[in-house]
Amino acid sequence: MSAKIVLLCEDQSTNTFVRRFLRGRQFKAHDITTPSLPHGSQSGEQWVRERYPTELKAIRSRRGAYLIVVIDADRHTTQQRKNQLDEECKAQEVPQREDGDPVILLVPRRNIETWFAYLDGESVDETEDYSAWRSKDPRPFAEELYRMCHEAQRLREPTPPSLEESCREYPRLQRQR
Amino acid sequence: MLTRLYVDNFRCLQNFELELDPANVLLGRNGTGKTSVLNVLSKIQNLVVRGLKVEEVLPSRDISLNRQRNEQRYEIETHLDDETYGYSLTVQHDLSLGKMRVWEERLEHEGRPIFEFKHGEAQLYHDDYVKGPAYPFDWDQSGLGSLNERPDNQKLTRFKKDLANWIIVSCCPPIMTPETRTEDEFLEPLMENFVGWYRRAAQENMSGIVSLFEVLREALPGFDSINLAESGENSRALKAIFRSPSSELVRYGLDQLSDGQRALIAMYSLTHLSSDRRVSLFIDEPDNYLALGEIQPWLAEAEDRVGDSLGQVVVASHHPVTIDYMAGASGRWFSRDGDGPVRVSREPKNVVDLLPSETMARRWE
Repeated sequence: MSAKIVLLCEDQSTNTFVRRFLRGRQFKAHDITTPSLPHGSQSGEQWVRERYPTELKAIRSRRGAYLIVVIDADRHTTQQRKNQLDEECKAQEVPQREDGDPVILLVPRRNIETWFAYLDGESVDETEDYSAWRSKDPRPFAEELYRMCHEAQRLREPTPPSLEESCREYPRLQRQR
Repeated sequence: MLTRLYVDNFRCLQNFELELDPANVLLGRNGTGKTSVLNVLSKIQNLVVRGLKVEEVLPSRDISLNRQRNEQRYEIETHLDDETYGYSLTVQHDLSLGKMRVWEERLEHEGRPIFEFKHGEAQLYHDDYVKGPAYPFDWDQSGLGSLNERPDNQKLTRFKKDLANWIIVSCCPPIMTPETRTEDEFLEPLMENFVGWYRRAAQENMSGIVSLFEVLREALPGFDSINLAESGENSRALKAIFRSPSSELVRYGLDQLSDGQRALIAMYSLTHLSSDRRVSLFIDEPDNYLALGEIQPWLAEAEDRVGDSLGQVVVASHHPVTIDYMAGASGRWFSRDGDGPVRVSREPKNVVDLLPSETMARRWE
């Protein structure tokens, strides 16, 4: 059983969140592989950004597999963060993502914890810091997102714009499974 | 769930303290005490749950060689359903006579005593913390281990059941017996009685069987299911059923499978048939025998079940896949200065811009 999804993300909490969400779509543990983060001074965001071109190149050579990238916008806009990923591709001489690439880019703003707070029932402001949600179990939040996407078929309003934008990436995965 | 362990004067564990989360990986070089930690847990379980004699469980040769003291101290803290238990045990050794005895033993619930044994006298408590009878008791075994369940000692009984739900093993497929005449509550340390344990666990957890077969179909190409076939009077043999390319079902005995296939069946059985939030899995080298691509899925499955159908997963590992997958969020780094005592931290002493396994491979941690 080969991995169908490469999940490139900043930390274990995000890994757990995405895996639990995908479980609802019948993706199993064997379907997903998560490249491990180095220890050290480098931030998770920096590591994802620098690793992205390598994984983008690899996924293009692997038919039927997907790359899911989750990277926090932090103090940038989601578009600025996506532009930074493109710039990193340019620096590493890898063609940047195109429409046909099996790549899903999810950019929570300000952080993934902003989504957790929203999925926990809070009204959120994407410029605020929700680090209090960092230590919480992310699995119930993934289940809530799955419920909104697949059962309610709508996100609760007001929806964080970065989550809405990420949901527009989602059909790239749906087409194949 | 075990949240804290303190050990003094057991092998390399001297004034040693370890705090645990629902999922952890114990990391460190050979001889830094990872397996000793699992041994201590097994010994506490043998004393308190199985009621074994202290001389069978804690021989004097396990006293730290570079210490002159003859007392060993063990403390654990467990947490379940917002209740906290604290257990402590002091064992005294007479090195000249080669004898040992329980010197003190105490169990607390929410910081209040519910059992005490000191210098030969046991003090019972009721569930409302009011003192019950006191009586002289045997120094050769755990007083707690000798107590049976009663209506007024439910707290104490709950603690003992928590300890009974610790599974402390290292998976060793070559010595697994393919048949069993028994239904085993406890797994032996190297899982040699896996089939006997499976026989009991499968009966108690039918929904676990369904999910076990599902995950094994992912992990083992052609796998269909497992059954326990009659193999003599009261005897059952574990048969793994595979589907051939022509869709025929072929039954293999455990001894006809590869070590890796046996390991996969055993490891996923641990996570899928131990479906109780009280179960804590402590596994030494869970990645032994597993193919490279099978390690991360097993870890992900195990972690995913924690909090839902499993209480805790603690693994000790040298494998780079396990280390890199778990060390960042759940690592407990064991280190030792020469022959000195073991110390443990949540981060390596030296953090460098490398994968944790690469850092360890260079011995830079």
